[in-house]
Amino acid sequence: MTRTRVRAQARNPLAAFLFILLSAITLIAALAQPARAEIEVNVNRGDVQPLPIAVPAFGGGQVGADISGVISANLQRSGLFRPLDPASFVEKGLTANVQPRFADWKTINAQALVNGQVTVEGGKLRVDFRLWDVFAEQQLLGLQFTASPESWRKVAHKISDAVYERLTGEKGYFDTRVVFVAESGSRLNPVKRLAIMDQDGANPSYLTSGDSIVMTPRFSSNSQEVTYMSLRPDSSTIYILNLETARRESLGTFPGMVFAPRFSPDGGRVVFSVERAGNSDLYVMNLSSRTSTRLTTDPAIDTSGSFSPDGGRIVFNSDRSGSPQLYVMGADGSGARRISSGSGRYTTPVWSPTGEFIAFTKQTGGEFHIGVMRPDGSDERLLTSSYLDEGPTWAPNGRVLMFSRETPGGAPKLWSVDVTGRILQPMPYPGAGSDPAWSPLLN
Amino acid sequence: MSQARARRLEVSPAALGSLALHVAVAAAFMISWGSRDLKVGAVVPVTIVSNAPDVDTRPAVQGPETQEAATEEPVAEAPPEPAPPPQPVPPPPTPKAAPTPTPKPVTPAAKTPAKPAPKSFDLDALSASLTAPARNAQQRPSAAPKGPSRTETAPVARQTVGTGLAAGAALQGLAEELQRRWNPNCEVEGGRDVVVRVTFQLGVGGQVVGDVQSQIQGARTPVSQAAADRAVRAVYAAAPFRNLPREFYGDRVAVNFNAREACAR
Amino acid sequence: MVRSFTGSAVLRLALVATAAASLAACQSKPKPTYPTQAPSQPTAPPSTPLPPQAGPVTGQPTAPLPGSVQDFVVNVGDRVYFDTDQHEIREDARPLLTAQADWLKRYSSVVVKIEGNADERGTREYNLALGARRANSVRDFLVAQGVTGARISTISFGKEQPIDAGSGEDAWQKNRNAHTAIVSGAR
Repeated sequence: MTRTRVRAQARNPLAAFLFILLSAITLIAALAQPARAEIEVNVNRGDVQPLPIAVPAFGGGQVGADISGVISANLQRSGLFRPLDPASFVEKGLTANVQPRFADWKTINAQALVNGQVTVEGGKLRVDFRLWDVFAEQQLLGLQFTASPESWRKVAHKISDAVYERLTGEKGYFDTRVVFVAESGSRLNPVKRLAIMDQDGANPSYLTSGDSIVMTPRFSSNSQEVTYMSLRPDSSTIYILNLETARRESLGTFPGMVFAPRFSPDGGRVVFSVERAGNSDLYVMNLSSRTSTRLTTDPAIDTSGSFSPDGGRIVFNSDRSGSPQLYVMGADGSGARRISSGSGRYTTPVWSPTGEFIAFTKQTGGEFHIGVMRPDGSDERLLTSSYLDEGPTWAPNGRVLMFSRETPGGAPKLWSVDVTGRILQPMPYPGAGSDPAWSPLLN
Repeated sequence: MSQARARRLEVSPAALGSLALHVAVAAAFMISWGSRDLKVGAVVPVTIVSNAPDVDTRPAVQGPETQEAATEEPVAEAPPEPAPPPQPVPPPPTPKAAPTPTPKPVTPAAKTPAKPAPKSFDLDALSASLTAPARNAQQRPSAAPKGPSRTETAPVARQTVGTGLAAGAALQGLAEELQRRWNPNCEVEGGRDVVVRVTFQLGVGGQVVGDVQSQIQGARTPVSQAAADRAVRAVYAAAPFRNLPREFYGDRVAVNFNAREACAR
Repeated sequence: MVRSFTGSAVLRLALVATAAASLAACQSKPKPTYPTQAPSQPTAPPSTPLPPQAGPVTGQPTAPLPGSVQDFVVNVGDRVYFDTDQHEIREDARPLLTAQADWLKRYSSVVVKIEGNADERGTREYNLALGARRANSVRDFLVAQGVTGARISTISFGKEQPIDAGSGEDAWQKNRNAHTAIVSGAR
């Protein structure tokens, strides 16, 4: 047969040619076939809920348990995390230096795990912690903090910030403080004292004695100074109080009421209001030269100025149109332009630290609201509604607001709301308080 | 001459057979290529049965997994603590006891509740709901199936080797599973705009083999990076993917996680 | 108007005082304190311990000493009220303020401070400015009536010092007020 075939090939050039051609085609077809196909899948829906996270007690005794407790509380209060119940944990006794048994944590659907260890070395606290991605089975963060023992809360806040930032991409806001007016006494005889506390309500302490009414405090950008207004029976004074040295200095004497002080973002200026013969205008003082410049001149009430994060513009509250509205002008007072457009009264504007929003108080239909809008006035959204909500202040990451809420005949309390309006809750501070002001992230 | 013709006729069946074989092989290659290129969404619509309560915790088997030694990471020391604010007023206050954060669990408005997440996981209830023997917590779980098979909720459970219909439905099931396991962050500024493409390779049995890669559409910011982590996490959590037609195993899968759509609901 | 401390001035003052005293002696009971013709200007039941407002109206055994703080508060009236968000002097407040002006012109050594107040239905800083406007409106009125401007200072307490702790229009309208407080110079 072979002989026949060979002879057929030799004798049949057309068949030979076809044979070669077909082989070539087959070969090409085989080579052109990709080794592996890629399957495309589109996922356009998800399970939108706070991220389930496990924070077991840190090793190292009571302080370890306390630290993890503060971390859990911080994350839970942010509304973006759901710390799982420690009673459901399968793996026990996890320390910072051992890889977790991931399967145990997957069982309870923990997407992330924070564990740590506290040791005391030479009179100092050393805290090691790790953040794990449970399903990917890998470590996301590992840090070590050293601090004095009484600063254990600060360490817990710093860990909370690190975890928050790693899992959301946003900066945290847990290592911060809030200055506010603590109220006591009765409505007709209130005692108002300047007070300061951690953002979770811990470590409250008073900064003034209660001899005079105090109002509207604000932090400076380096968080070492607070400015506020003190109202006595005969006069009003704006003070700058240094929290570290306890030194207090007055902004100066003026012919009328002075109020509504705010630092510029670089801490070099203070914008405030001065009243002359019933007319309130905005002024700005350069703190090093101690010279004041008048920014508004119309006969309307102009007050509650707030700098943009770059210090170039000021949003303020003016009733020059007949009712209180929001205006934006240059930091030199030029080019004031109205930005609020809804019906209602707009007051207490505050520019967010990230520059994206301006928060405000709005009165409409007999109710008070905390709201936000873009700096050009668009996208106005009301986040809260009640008998009396007022005076929002921004957390340093520009996502959470604190404000004061009062019920009819009741004492004011501090509340917080996030910028979507969905996470609304009272602050942990149990007393009566108003006029909150949030510090920047502490260093 | 007639002899040559006869010979030519003699050999032509062999040549014909060879020709036919070549054609058949070439044709077979071309046919299978066409049926592989299947996109989910362009598939026969299948009604999705509601998802079972999520108890599946089968971890993905990774390819060459380097176990990380639990070494101390480089330190980030907190700077010396600034002194607590001095009180210019003599009488220090009584801090109002240890402040207990008021535990008001504020649930965000339910978007697409793929499943109502229980508040805590009771292991007894968990094991009671399992139909398979209890899972054991191993460091490196094998690809052996554990727990209830997902096919109970998959719309179409077919083991037949791919007709286009079955393959499409199985991929729909894969998408559903990823959807259940994906926890996008809609709250952060910019979180709603993130689109992430995650690619991985399917192993035998549907587990993830080797690395899972992620690719962010748009700028790489901390927010989009965190979002990419969540998408990758969803793949690990959803694996292994069961009930895919056999020819899919070994393929690369590309998943497009679209937060714009997911957060718009 | 410059007043020189002359003997004739003292004599005039003594005469007026005697006249007032005798007038007071003739009366069987004190005059009502607040003008009652306008229902929108309620007689505020004194509910705060602030000295100028303390003390019941009736039942006083003796009339207040002319030129004293009591005299001013009881016989003239030291508080006027405003409409919501307004700082203009209301029509029904004019007689009272005119009486204040007359009294101040009579007892020309008295120095007063006008305290502007607002209700709680506003935010803290804006209401402070609003109270300042109200105080200034009263001051302008008094100056227009002939009282020396240097004798009148103003201050605003915004919504910090309500005189009625309730919540409702009844309370709020009382808290929208300007209070004329005597600082010095009265008997």
